[in-house]
Amino acid sequence: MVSATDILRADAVTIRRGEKLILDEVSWQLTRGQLSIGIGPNGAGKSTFLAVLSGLLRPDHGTVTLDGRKMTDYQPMERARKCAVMKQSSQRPASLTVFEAVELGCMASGINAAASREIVWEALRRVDMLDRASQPCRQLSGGEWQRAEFARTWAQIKSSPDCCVVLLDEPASSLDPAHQHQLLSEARRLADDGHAVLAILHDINLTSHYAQQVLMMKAGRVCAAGPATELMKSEILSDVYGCMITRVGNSTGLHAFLSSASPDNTPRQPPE
Amino acid sequence: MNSYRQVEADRLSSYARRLVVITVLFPLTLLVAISLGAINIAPWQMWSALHSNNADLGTLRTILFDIRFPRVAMAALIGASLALAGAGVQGLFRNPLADPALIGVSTGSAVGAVICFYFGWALALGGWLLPAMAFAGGLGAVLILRLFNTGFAAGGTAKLILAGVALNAMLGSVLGFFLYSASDDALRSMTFWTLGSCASAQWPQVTIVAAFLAGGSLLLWRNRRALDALQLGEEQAAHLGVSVKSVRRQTIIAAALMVGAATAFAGTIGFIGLVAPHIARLLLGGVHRFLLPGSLLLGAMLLVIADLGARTLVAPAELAVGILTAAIGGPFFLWLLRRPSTGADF
Repeated sequence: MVSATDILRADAVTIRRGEKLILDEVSWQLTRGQLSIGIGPNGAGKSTFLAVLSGLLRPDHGTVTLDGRKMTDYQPMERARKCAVMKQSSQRPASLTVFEAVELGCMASGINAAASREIVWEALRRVDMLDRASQPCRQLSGGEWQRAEFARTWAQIKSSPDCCVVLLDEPASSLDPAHQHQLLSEARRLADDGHAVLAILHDINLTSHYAQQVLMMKAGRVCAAGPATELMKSEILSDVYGCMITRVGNSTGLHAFLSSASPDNTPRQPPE
Repeated sequence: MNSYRQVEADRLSSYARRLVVITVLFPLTLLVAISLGAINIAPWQMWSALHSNNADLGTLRTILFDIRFPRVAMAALIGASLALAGAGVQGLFRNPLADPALIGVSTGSAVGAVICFYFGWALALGGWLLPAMAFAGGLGAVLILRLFNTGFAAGGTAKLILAGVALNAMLGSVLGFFLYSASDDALRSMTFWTLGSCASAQWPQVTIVAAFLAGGSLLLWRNRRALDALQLGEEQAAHLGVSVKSVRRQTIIAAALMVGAATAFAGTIGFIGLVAPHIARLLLGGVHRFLLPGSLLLGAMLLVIADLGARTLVAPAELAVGILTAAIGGPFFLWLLRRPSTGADF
């Protein structure tokens, strides 16, 4: 299992909230050069797992290792140089402009102002936000703010030469289809550049289109993990989500997953 | 792409230009405040009083050195301290309603001072016991609050604000007890103290306030990037490399030292700490690189002007400066809030 390219590892990570197990001995590793996508129903523990991987949430049991060192041994600044994180819902800084908010991505790197400005302009260009640069963040729509946040994360990655891990928690949830593809193409490009990228998504089609590795979670456990080509099948997905998921496609390889209500047409009851 | 760069460059240079204008207005305000008073001294008279040994100008020299200079310097330093502390606390709590008083320092100082008046110690130790006890009270309150500076996973800032509210209420009840049972004379002194005044300004006090302002502003300036990042929320700031707990600690200590020293010598002066950072944000944007120096200068100017009013409006008597800061600051703040999409929103 252990290979030289495993840059971020979680070993038997457990998180409890009182009696409830949020994560139950989850192990997984991120590899340089691969885009992994985490999927699963609401409350499966995906975001919690990402928070553990990011080093902000300390597991009750188990360890997280970033680049050969225990996550808990890192100072925030060192960690920010190696691992860029886009949280699911960060707060909007109403009194900062988009440019200023994106520029914050460069703060850990210690590069000079001129160099960081160049990176910020390039980041904004990649998410189609150049014309918004000087606007206050409070004037953006939800999707635009999400793109600005991705630009900030991109700036964080590009400003630190040591950056090797990218964690994105539902980075495309508010985006229109064109910008969803734009963002995931950028995420895939980061992986191609040698970063280890993990994104959490709710869109099965985007997942099957972009993921190299898939991590399927359910009830605090990893229920399936491996190459996307092996796992993105209708039976597996139907089982994970508890509803009918059908694959439709034609001979040219173009395909899509369609979801419909579970066979008995009633909401699934939790097992007694 | 070049036009976007131009817009951004223009925005930055307009902030810089405004900061320069404020920086130029600042010494002018000081000059006006020094020349006006019970006796008006024109700037050229000042010049000759300071540069000749003519005995006739000796009185002017005394007025300038012993009264005007320390008084105006004190007002400027206290205004700067309160405004800078306000900017730091508002940035830390991401809350436009945050005021340095929220961290308990003002109420704690008031308790220390009121105890002094209650027991008739106001003039003890050559008048130094009163500021010492006020300072100790303010810092004591903040040290209690620091116990609630937990990790951000546990609710962090919200917990700190709620703890501040509870602490203020508790200190308020202690304050109420002493006010209730004080003699009439003591009560009058207490009331005057809680309205604030720069009348006690002497060079030693001025030096002490200046030293605390220097220390506090250095501490805040070192954290300016972290305060920017905190505007994204604490967790995202941590992902960008901010050590949230340490920034919180340093900001609160900086604010407590500055407000504690200011309150110790001038009593509780309201509104400057709340309003000056808002005006600065309106003019200079939300990045602390501009916001901190802007708040410092605007706070200093506001209190110098208010203090000028306090000592000239009803001369030869004096108004408490706290009455004026609230009387001017309140309507101005309401006007800010009424303006659509200004710096009044955070």
